[in-house]
Amino acid sequence: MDRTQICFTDTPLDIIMIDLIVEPFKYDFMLRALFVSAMVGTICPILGSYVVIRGMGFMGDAMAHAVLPGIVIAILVGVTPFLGSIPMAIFVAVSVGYMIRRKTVSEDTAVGIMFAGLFSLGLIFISFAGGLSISVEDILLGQILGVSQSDMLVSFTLTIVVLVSLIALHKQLVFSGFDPVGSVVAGLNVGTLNYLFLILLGISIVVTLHVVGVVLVVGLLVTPAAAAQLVVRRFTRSMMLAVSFGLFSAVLGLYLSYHLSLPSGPSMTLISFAIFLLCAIYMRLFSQAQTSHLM
Amino acid sequence: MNTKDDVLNQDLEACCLDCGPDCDCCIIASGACVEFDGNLVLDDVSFSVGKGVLTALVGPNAGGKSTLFNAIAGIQEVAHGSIYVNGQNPQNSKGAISYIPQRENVNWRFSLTAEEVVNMGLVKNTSIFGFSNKKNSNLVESALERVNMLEEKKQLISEMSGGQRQRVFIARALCQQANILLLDEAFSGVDVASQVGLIDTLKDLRDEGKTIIIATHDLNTLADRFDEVICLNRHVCAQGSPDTAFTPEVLEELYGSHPDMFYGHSLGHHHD
Repeated sequence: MDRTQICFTDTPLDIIMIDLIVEPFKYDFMLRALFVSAMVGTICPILGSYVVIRGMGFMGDAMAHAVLPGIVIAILVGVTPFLGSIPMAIFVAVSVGYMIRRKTVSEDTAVGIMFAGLFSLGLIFISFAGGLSISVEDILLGQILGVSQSDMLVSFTLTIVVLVSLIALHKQLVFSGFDPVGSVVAGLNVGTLNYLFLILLGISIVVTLHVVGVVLVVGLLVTPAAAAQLVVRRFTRSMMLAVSFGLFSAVLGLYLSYHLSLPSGPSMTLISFAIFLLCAIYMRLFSQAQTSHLM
Repeated sequence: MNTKDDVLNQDLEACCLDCGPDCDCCIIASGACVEFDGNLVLDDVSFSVGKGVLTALVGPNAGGKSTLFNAIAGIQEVAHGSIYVNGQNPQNSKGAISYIPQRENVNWRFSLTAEEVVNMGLVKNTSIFGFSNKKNSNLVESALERVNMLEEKKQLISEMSGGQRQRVFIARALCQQANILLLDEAFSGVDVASQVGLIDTLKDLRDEGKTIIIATHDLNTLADRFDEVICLNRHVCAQGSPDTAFTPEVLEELYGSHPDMFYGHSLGHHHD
């Protein structure tokens, strides 16, 4: 049966709903996709919360673009893209961190230089390579349905590494982000902490690339966190809400892409965008109500 | 050949010539010069601050107050001369100092409760996963109680008044068990009544042996509030009690025109 032609006639609504929810997961590739989407929907908003509150949104976008040469080289050599993207992400993180620390140029400029230079290098590699075993569109927009068993295991391992590291570093990251000078004086090694954070960000982006691709990473990294911070003020609580938004966007996006034959990455980021709009409207109405109450 | 310790002892002895044999200075600057982006921001700065003294650091904008704090805290390199904190290089004294930042240098987008901010003082002493435990929780609560902010422990610091914020930062310093507190523009954005309460709290801490330096613009109430004052305009114009330090010459050096003040001082020439 064609999955787009489910017959709803004379079927109770609850059965239809159960079918809509369960039916996609009769396929192994959809189960793998759900698993990786859930991981990305969890990890991205957590890291994104630090990214948004530190005003580093551009950094996430730029790092995703800058790992392109690593992915292309790995595909050309015939190994899993992780073997190219992970070292590339670490290289980008350390290079950007070094440029910022040395104050060679301002933070945004350093990020912009790496972004433009390395993304261009990746595109040049693609044009030289001629025929790649994977489509350029999949690299740029993601192809969650193509996730293999080994990709899933690598993503799972990386996700656990990032989550455990973030739990260990949470207090330090909050302190150094909230009061940069005070944290250094208190004895925190903020330089090393910033490098570690950028490396964790790079690894998370690598995991996310399968799901939404190079271009749309920021949609899952930044948007759910920004939406949550609009409606919840306390930082740790906003992180939890951001994870709910991220999970909802990733899973619902996957369902929509399956049932409506839409590209999965854009579906997820569009839902994330819709949540942000709703939060912005809620915030606007709520703040207006508070203002009129005070007047 | 002099070892590093010999040099340090010489500096301490040099300080003690002024202070007498029972010197217990905990911050000593001797001819300290700081260059920043090619400019000489601090030039031949010398002073000493004793243990348990409440000191005001006054001077004009861009007079080097924040830079001096950074040098004392070990995050700004001293190009020439020396600064010692508790008899050690500032780099080795991190943790002994608590820095309370200017309002502009804090990222207020982090919506944290007073309790969470004070907990930061324990960040070096907690385990790597840093989960709260009963002992830490008691330390945080007792620090908040000391500054009369226990009832506001669940309140967001971004929603507090200037005076309340300063109290929370002081509680953080208490949790850190720092014996030196550097407060950068502590009275900026704090109403007069809260300033009085704040200074009372700081005097209590001073009486317990904490060394406190506050950078401030407000010259009017110095005599009532501080034991000592250091007047800084790229170099130390005067140090002493607030009643005696402000001579007309000192005020002119601080805030008037003073073209001949830095005669003979330029980059790379530090009275060698």
